[in-house]
Amino acid sequence: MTKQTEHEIPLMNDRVPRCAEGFTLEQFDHEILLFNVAKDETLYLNATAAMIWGLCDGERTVRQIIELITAGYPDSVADVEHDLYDTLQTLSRHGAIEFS
Amino acid sequence: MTTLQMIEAYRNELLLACVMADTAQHTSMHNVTTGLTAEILEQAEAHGLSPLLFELVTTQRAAVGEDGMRVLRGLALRHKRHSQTRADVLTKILHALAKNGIETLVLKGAALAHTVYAKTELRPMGDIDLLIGKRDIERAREILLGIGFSATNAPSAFVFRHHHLPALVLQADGELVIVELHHDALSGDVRESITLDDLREDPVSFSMNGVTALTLGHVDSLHHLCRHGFEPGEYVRLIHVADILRYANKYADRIDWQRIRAELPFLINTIRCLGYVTALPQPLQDIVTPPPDLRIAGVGRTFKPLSKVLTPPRQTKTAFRELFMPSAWWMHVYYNIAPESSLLRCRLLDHPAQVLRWVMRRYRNFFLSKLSAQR
Repeated sequence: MTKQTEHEIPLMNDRVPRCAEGFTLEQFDHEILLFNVAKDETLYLNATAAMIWGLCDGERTVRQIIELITAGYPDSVADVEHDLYDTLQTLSRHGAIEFS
Repeated sequence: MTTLQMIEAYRNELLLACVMADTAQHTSMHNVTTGLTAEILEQAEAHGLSPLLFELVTTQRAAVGEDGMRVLRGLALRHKRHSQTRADVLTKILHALAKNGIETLVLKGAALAHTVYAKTELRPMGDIDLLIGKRDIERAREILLGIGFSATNAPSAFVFRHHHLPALVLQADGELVIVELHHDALSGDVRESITLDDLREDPVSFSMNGVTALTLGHVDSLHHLCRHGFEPGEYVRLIHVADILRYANKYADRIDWQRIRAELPFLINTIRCLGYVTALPQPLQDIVTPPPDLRIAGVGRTFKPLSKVLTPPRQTKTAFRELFMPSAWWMHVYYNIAPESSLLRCRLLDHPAQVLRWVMRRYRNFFLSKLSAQR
């Protein structure tokens, strides 16, 4: 993890991510794809990333999403947190989620 | 994508296999080891074949590589979404027009997706084309504006009295849906017409989103597809080849071939000439004599649009070649000359006379447009 990411993590915890408009999640040909209608862009997601995207409802904070997911994986909290930050950053970079 | 790259698609076995893919006439892909390179994917998309290519490689489990497959899957999903959006918009349009008593026939991709292809998303379409009686077309336009469409600018004065009104557009589900209202399914550049007043056969119905829609009868459909696919445009898109061969193949036993031979013999010759692109499906080989084993030049190429040939800066020599020496394959089709016959007379007389007619028609329309603007 880079220093910049480490710095970003605590800042992100209280922020509230929400799915950006124009994106829809589709299961297609045994893959999960996040499709942006307006930009004609497609992002491939794994099952965990799809779940994270689905939890970005504009009401839960990043911390609450972490708590929800780690509840299911109590033995690997650090890994889950790392994957979640990574996923949120990737989704954010592609404009698929927005923070408020 | 250049014209040359588009023509190269005519030599790609994977793309050619898409023409009849998912029909009983498909080519087996078990031996195909071609990867889905960026160029093939671009060609597939430009030729309107991405969904068919996706269908082909997934159903036949062709070894094409995961990198290309990821891009192709994205393209196929995109077309599926577009197809759903367009079908929803079309349903809305047909409801609105029917409520106002306007007879409407659905043309091209929007109809073929339902009548010819196994799944609607396999036939991509750029816009929705509708045929409406000339007396109703302005009213139909007003109705579409009333349900949320916006008007676009009128085309250039050279295409005044066009066979369709300027496109209407609508934002639906984040996409731009384009609709063209035609009073004639064929461009004024060809001598025939297909209007609601001169249909050769009664329209046929098809079901779409739970509503019954109408489209051209079989002879008119085939006529329309063959003329539309070979309109000036530099190359024939392979999806148009697929449209013609799939249509003729699917409805081979219902098409009035006798009438076609008598009234529209060029349709038979067009199908024959498509035999130089891909093997004709068996039912068609019983109806149309397969083309002779000759080397016909310029397969896939058509005639460059006049607007491109005559727009400066253009070298005179290039313009002359593009105007008067188009592809032999296209000339055989367009002028209904059997592949066995010479093109000499056509090259020296018929084609130059046709070019002159096209140029004169554009200038006549230009002057009529100016006169109309002054009134």
